[in-house]
Amino acid sequence: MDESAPGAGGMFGRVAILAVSSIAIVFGAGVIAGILAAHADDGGGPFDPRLIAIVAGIALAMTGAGWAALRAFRAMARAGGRPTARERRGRLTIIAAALTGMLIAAVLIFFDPTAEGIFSNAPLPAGVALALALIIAVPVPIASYYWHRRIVDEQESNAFRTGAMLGLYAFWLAAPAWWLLWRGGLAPAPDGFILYFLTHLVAGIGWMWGKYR
Amino acid sequence: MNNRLRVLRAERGWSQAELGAQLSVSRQAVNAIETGKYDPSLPLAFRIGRLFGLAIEDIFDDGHTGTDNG
Repeated sequence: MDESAPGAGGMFGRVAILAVSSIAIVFGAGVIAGILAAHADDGGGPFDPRLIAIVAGIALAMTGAGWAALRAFRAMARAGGRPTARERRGRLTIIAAALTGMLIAAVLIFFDPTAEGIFSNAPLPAGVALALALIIAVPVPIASYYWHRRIVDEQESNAFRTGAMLGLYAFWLAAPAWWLLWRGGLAPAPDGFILYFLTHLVAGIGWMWGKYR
Repeated sequence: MNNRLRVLRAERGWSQAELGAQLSVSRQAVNAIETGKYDPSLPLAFRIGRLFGLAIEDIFDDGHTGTDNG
């Protein structure tokens, strides 16, 4: 019985499709929320057919992204037969982390439904900001400890270190470069969240590449 | 690093998941080792050797044929 499909190059592609599709759905929801909020701010009224077409196009793209994500997830679940107990724990943790991230993104979009979406620096109600910060500061470290102690094996741990190193380099290079460009009047002021997102993105790609290539 | 893990696993009729469960690693790890994309740590290499009843150098080949240290 040979099950060489999991871990082959195709697996990295499936993970990439899943990640990109999920991000596209969250961003699409944010854009639609922003369009609807702008329409309400303009006094509401009947929708411009062009606006309806744009929203319908985004909704269609989100449906396509959801379909692609579902296919990728099913292919990943099928590959290699029954998952081991360690893999089941890993999947549950990933699903919990993704739902937590989507919940945070949804709350941020709800409080600032503009095109900036989750990248917005607009003020938040203090209680909401505290609740979101606590979600990140308390359960995430516990889940991370569990993840590293009970779920990842040495191959994934190695992939994680590769991703972390690439992410650190991305921050080391991007932050001072952006800061210098700002001081030279060539760029807007450095944005901590964009730098965080970039670091996270690079580290995540490096991690997934190391694990699934 | 070349290795005979895939052949040894096939001889016993084990899937990657079954071998991974016996070694406490994921299927991705087994696949990565079999395809030479990841070299296992020394403790894991010893576990693999013990599982198949072979010495590490009977499973893994670093392509070095000499007996010197350099």
